Amino acid sequence: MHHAFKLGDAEHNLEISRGADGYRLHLIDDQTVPFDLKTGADGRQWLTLDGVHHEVVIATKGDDVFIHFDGEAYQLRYEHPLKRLAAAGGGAAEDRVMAPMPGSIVNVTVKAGDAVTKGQVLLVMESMKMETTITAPRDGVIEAVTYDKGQTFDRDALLLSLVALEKKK
Amino acid sequence: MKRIESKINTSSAEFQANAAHNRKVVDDFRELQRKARDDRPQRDIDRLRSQNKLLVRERLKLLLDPGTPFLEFSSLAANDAYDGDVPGAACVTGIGIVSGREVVINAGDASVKGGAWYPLTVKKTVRALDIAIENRLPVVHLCDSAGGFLPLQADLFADKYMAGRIFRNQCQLSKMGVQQVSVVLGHCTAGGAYVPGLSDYNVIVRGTGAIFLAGPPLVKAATGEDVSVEDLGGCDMHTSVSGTADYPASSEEEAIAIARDIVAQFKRPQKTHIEWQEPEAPFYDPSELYGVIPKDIKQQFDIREVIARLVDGSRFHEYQPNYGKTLICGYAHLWGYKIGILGNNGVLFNDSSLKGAHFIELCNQNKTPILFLQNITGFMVGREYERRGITKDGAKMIMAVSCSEVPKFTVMCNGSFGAGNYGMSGRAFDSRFLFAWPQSQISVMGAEQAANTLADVKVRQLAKQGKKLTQEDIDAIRDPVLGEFKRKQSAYWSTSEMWDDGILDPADTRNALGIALSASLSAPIGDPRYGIFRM
Repeated sequence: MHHAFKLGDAEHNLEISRGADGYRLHLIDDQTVPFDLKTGADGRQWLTLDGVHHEVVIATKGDDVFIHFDGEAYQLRYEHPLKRLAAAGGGAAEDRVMAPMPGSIVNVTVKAGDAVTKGQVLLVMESMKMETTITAPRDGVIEAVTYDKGQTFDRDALLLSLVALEKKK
Repeated sequence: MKRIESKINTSSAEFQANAAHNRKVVDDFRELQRKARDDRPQRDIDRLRSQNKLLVRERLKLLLDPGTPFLEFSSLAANDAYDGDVPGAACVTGIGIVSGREVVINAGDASVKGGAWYPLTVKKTVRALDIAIENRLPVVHLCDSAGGFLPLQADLFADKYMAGRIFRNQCQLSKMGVQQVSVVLGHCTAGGAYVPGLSDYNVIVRGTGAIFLAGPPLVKAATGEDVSVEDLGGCDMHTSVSGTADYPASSEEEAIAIARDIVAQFKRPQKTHIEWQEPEAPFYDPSELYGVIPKDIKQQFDIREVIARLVDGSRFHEYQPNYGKTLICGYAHLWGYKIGILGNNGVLFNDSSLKGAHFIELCNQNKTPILFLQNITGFMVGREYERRGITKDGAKMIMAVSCSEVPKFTVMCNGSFGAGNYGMSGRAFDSRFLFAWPQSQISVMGAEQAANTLADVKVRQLAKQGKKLTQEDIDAIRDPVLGEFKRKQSAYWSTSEMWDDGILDPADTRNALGIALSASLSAPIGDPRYGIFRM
């Protein structure tokens, strides 16, 4: 299995597989290190790494993993490979906000040049009796707003376009 | 399977306003449910106490395994009927755990009109037995009924889905090898006598329990014979002479304990194997659903925000994320069970309908149960869409839904309007279970649109005769239609008529679906086969 963690700002990719006694960690040079993590009846957690036992304290909250190991505290962040790979290639497609269905504009709350944050309401449209709120797909600056209040549009019409904050500067 | 990333700001004013509004909606629902379950005229309670009888909820408490969940069906059935005089339709039905087995419970409520069968009592009982048949679940009947409510006999007796269907369903269950126990706690008269008559095991309480085709007064009138209840159809006569009942009991407590011991003899079913993994709580708290559901039914919301608050770890594998985006399809786990989900993010277009049909076929191919989350105003209308064949593409989705072999589950999350109700497995499409959220609405079209359409037709009719209507005349046509539509599209009307299996607090939906999924796997899943998809 492939896993990725962030420790501080550094990203670490790990490959692990099942071994005879627990798991094996695969290193870059095709070497493997056996390891296992067990919780004793008293609730203490033991990490066995290459035959050596270490007591550890591990707590997880969502994707965050807090580890106390060898007198030091660490915070790791688990990253799902699908999310990480999508983030690596993403960007451009989200710069153009298209109409999900034909309809009319109820209200536009931003204008060209406004800086917006991800999730901020950009406009409200109406179609087939339902109001849909369009929010910013990511942080950025509004490049252009295509329609005014009351105007109608077809499906997949470009409603708004965004540019990255840095590009604008 | 990656986690859904919620885009909702739970500290925003809008979220807080929605949450406050919906918590109030849920509180009102809870209060109605409490009343329907527990509020009874004192004289009815006194009457039962003087007969040494327990109330139906007390009986259930003795019957069910302690600390196990009971999924009650249609707790607000008949609440908008019979002037509200027959709460819960005078019976309690649901899925509970008895001696470690999942069973369907069918219990008469003698504190409501003596447990008389109203038309909706019959509908609720037939539905409970349909659930037993579809999911192959044993049934425990707690019998205590005054018999059919005679003034409404024409609405409960003779038609295909009326009282006879109860007994027909009991026979079908038996034929399938599914066992039934009846506990006779009151009189089972006339048709009611066949409930124990068609069960595999019968327990009867001495003194209060009786089974006969006609009670003493009717016998006297028919043949002049003078006979006591005990002698005609009491506990000792039936368990030692006629053999209609099997186990005598000296009290309700003993009778229910015997019934528990009988169920303990049942072979546990071999559950249908589907993909399963260790369950995990949702990453996003299900109680945040109160803030997700908008106050105004006209406001669209992202159904992924709902999915994130129902499924294990809030993880969702979205299928075709870039195609037919008004229908969200994908896989998730719920209480460990792998399911496919179809949820609405707007009106159904050609592409979303095709995507839905395709996804239903995928789920059937690999035996994955399907959950439909309805928030739908219908299929797209207009010249362009008709030319692209919106009707035939919608028909494909309806074909896939209808012929689907895997268990289907439907939740009315918000709006359910027009043919969208059908495409998303509405009541007519045999979902194993269908639940509604208290603020949801169902109708063939929106109230405003219906009222305007009808007013429009009238105006044109009169215009042909050369008459002209004033605004007041138009309002006089519009307003009653609007009022009637609004009343009958509310979830409370739907549930009163049993167009669903009950209203759920949104935060309870995950648990209810967990029980429903587990129950559904008592029946095997057939291989997929469809009719003609119009291409």
